[in-house]
Order: sequence, then C-alpha cells, then structure tokens
Amino acid sequence: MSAARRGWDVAFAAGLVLLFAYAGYTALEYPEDARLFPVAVALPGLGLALLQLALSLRPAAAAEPQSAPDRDSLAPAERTRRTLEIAAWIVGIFAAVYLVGFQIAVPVTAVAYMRLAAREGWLASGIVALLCWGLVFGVFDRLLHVPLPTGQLLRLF
Amino acid sequence: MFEALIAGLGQILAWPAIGLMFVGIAAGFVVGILPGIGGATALALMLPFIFKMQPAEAFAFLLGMSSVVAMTGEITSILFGVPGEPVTAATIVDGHTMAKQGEAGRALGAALFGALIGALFGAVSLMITIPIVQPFLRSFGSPEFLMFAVVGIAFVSSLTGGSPIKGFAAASLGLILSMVGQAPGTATLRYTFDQLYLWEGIRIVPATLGLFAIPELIDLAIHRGSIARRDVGSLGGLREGFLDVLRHRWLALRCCVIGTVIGVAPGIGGNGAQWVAYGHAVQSSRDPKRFGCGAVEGVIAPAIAAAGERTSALIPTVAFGIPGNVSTAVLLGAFIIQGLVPGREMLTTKLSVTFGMAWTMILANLVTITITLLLARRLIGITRVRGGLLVPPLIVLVFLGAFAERNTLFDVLVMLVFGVLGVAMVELGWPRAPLILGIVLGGVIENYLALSVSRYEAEWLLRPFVVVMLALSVAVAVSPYVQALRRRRAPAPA
Repeated sequence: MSAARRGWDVAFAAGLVLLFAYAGYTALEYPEDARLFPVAVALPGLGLALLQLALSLRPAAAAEPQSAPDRDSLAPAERTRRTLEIAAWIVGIFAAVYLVGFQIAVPVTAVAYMRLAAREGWLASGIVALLCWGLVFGVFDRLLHVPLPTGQLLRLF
Repeated sequence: MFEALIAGLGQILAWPAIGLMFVGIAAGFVVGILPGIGGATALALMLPFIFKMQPAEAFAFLLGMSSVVAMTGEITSILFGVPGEPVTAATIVDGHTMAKQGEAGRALGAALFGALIGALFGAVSLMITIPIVQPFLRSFGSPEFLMFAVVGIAFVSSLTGGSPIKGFAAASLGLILSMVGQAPGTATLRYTFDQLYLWEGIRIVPATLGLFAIPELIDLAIHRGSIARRDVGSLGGLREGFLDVLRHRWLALRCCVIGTVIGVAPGIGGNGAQWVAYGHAVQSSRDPKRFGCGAVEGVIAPAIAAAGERTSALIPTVAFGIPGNVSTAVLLGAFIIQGLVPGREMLTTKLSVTFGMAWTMILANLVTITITLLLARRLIGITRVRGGLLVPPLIVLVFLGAFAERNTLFDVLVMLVFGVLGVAMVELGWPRAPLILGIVLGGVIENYLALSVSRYEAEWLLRPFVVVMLALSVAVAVSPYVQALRRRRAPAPA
C-alpha cells in the first residue's frame, strides 16, 4: 500500500470516528424516545471506526491486500489526475444545471465534454449533445412532465 | 375458485384490457431503464388515466407497467453500472463487473431469466395463498414485521467482503444516516442541521445512484475505453445466463422464497430483498471470494428476489389494504378510484379481478423477456461503444434520475455527496452493500421497534415467531464465520 493510499485510509477511518462521535454526542440531547436508537448505533459504530483507525495506522497494514475488483493498470498518479478531472466535470455540469437549468446546461456541457475531455469530433459531439437534449426535453419534460428548473441565473431576466 | 381463475385470464385477454397491458408494458420498459423514475412514481403519474377504465383494464394497464420495471431496470444496472431502479442496485456489484469482463450477455440472460422466475413465483404465490393468507397474516403484528427487518440486517455479516470491521462500520453508518429527519412517533428532528430538506430524511434513490452509479461512471471516464474491457461474448452468452439460473436452481428457489416473504411483510421492500438475497448467495456459496468479481450467483439472487418481492407485495395489499411496498401503496389509490375495497370483497365477489392481477404480471413478464431477447444483440453492443460517447448521456441520466423523484436539485447534491463517499469506499476497499442495507432497513427497524415497545413493552420478545426469528438472525449473522472456520480447518486438497 502506498503512503498516499495509507493516508487516505487513515483519513477515512478518522472521518468515521468523528462522525460517530458527533452522532452519539448530539443524540444525548434528544428526548428519550428519539435518543435510544441513535445512541445504540453510534456507540458500536464508534468502537468499530476506532478499531479500523488503529488497524490503518499500524505498519502491518501495508501488507494487507485492500484491492477492489477491476482496479487495474493505470498508474496511481494518473488515475488520481483523471479522477479529479472527471469529478470537476461532474461538479461543473451540476453548477451549469443550477445556473441555467437542464435544457440549456445539458447540450452545452455535453458538447464541451465531448470536445475538450473526450476529444471527439464535431459530428459525434453534436449527435451526443442532441441525444442528451432529447432525453431531457423529449422524455423527461414532454413525456413524463417532470418540472425541470429554469436555473437561478435565468430567473434574474 | 377455478372459475374465477379462468375468468381472470379471460378478462385480461379481452380487448381493450390486453391492448392497455401492452401500453403499460411499453411504459414500464422505458421507466425501468431510466434511473430515478421508479415504478411507484410512474404508477402515480398514470393514475389519472384509469378513471374511465373498467377494473380489469385499469389493473392490466398499471400492473403491466409496474411488474416489468424490476426486469428492465436490470439492463441499465448490468450494462452501465447505473441502477435503472433502486431495487436493481445489487445486480451492479457482479453484473456490471461481468459486463466489463465481456460477459454482458451472460449477466443479462441470468438477470432477465431470474427476474422472470421470481415474478412468476410471486404471481403464483398470490394465486395460491390469497384464499388462505388472511388468518395467517392477521396473527402478525409489529414485533413479527420487526423481525423480518432484523433478519435482513443480520445478512450484513455476509456482505462485508472479507473485512468484517469495515462492513459493520459501514452498516452502522447506514443506520445513522437512516435516522436523519423526524424520529418516528416523536417528531423530534435529528441531524437535520436546520435544513427543511432533511426533515424527510435521506432518500434511497439519490443515495443508491451516488454510491453505485458515480463510481462506475468515473471508472468508465478515466479508462477512456469501452465498458467491456475484454472481448464481448457472443449472443450465446444469453443462453449461458439462462442455463446458469437452472444450474443454481436451489439458490433460485430460495431467493424466490426470500423475495416473496419480504414482499408480504410490509416496509422492507425490494431494496432490502435484493441485498438480503445477495447476502444469502454469498453465504451459501462454497467460494464467497468470487462475489464482487463477477460471480453469476450475485446476479441471479438479487434479480429473482427483487422481482418476487414486487409481485408478492400485492398479497397484503389485496387481502388487507396494507401495502407491501411504495408501488402497492400507490396502487391502493387505484383501488379507490375503481371503487374496490381491499379485503374480503377482493377474495370473494371480486376474486376474478384479483386473479386477473396475477395473470397480468405473468403475461407482462413473459412479453418483456421476449422483447428484451429481440433487442439483446443491440443492447449488449452498447458495451463496445467507446466510453467518451457514453459518459455525457450517463451523467444526464444520473442527474435526471436523482432529480426526478422529488423534483429538487438538493437530491442531485445529495447524490453527488454519496458519489464522493462511493468513490472513496471503492478505492479504499470498503463494502458499499452494508451501507445501503443500513439506510434501507434502519427506518423500518426503528419504526417497528417503537411500535412493539409502546404496544407490548418487553413482552413482545417472548412471542414465538419473534424467538424463532431472533435465533435465525443469530444463525445468519454467525454463519459466515463458522463456514470460514470450517474451511480453515478442512484439510488442503492434495
């Protein structure tokens, strides 16, 4: 296990410790009927998270097989870089949907992704964008009557 | 009774009921493939159309739609790793892994044939048990229903993926997340951070999409290849999948029973049934380490249980007016619109309508599997399309799926948060199944526990069924460790 991976493992377990501690502590303020179940779950959860944190911190953890299936050939640094790149795209698409709504954000970000990230040609980008827009407008808006938001930015005009 | 059985079939095969059933099947096919628009939402959307229909026509239309949703939801789960329905999320674990290994056809064949078997078993159970189920179910109260959920949560021990501490910690996290919102019976707000949105708690659709679809989507994007990383098997893979179900016929039968029993017990639903069945498949396997790496039993078990649950949930709905899951709760609205009263009337004077419902589910599933087989070659071909072309439509589907259940962008935000959690869990080797099982069953357990204690105090613990189910829960929880111990002690093969 690499040092970076071990660091993430420790951070995840530590995050769970904090979460269970917070859940248990906060539950103490609830009335008796509402307190019982959260406390009964948070305490063993805290114990398990602490145990996992201890296991993650010990040097022997480096030898433990921790692999998930199908995590393969990509170098860790490249894998992290690409993961952050697609994560940024997903967050960006959410921001676009929030600002201008699904009907505008979806085709625009689809073309942008296809051209800049997937490096596809204009024709393929246009077809995929049209397909995505068809999904939004044809299926969800027209067929299923899902009330799609117009976007915060467009509400100003 | 036999006359009612034939009359029920006659009503469904008559025009326009048969035509309306096909319209329902077409709608269900689309709904099942699209994430987020669940069977319950689709049923609610279609209710206004049944005002002018006869009862047999209305239920042919509605049940034709809802009974195929679980089956077609498997298609998106296996091919893209995006759960078409929350009840098909468990299929992703091994089904999508098989698709990546070029075995999409085999996984699809196993899931579809399994779903057909589960649905047929549920429908036949409905036909057989309806006349005798009333006195049996009347003896059940909240303690018994609580025990179904407790047995379900005990299956966490089989879903830990070789890391018991991580698995149980993930299940505890799921249980804590299930407590977000108003506490049952007290209206105390827990972990809501003064956000109105969190009053209703964390919804299963955005949580499932985030935990399962986002990691697969990211995986597809970063590899920049097609979904299938190896040569896609020929269409013969479908046949292999069918044969897999027959090879694992005893597992299939047990999962039929699991799905049907959970369907009859209100509250747990298909979300719980699929994971309980998956846990059972892991537990009963001679080589549990294959699960998560493309084990076909991991596809068969949840597909059968989810389909069986969906059909058998009609049993308490028809017999008592108690919905077994969210879809049947919406279906109760259809009963009212049609002037039908669940209970004695549906088992006596309207028995043919009840049997008509069972026939609809049988016919709808047979028609759906035929259509899917006709489309199979094209569907499997999608796994060979390069990832760059698939990522934008999949992002749109996942976003719309999270949004469409309650029409709020907060659900999309929650889905993204669960996506981060899902990616971290996959990368760090934490099992996701216990987490989702905790979210699904946490609310059910707390609700029935509160009801049991307030109604019976501690005496409910002494009820015979409760004692038996508690013993079963302990057996289920310790079984994987006993089996592991036995395997360790067994002499190594020469």
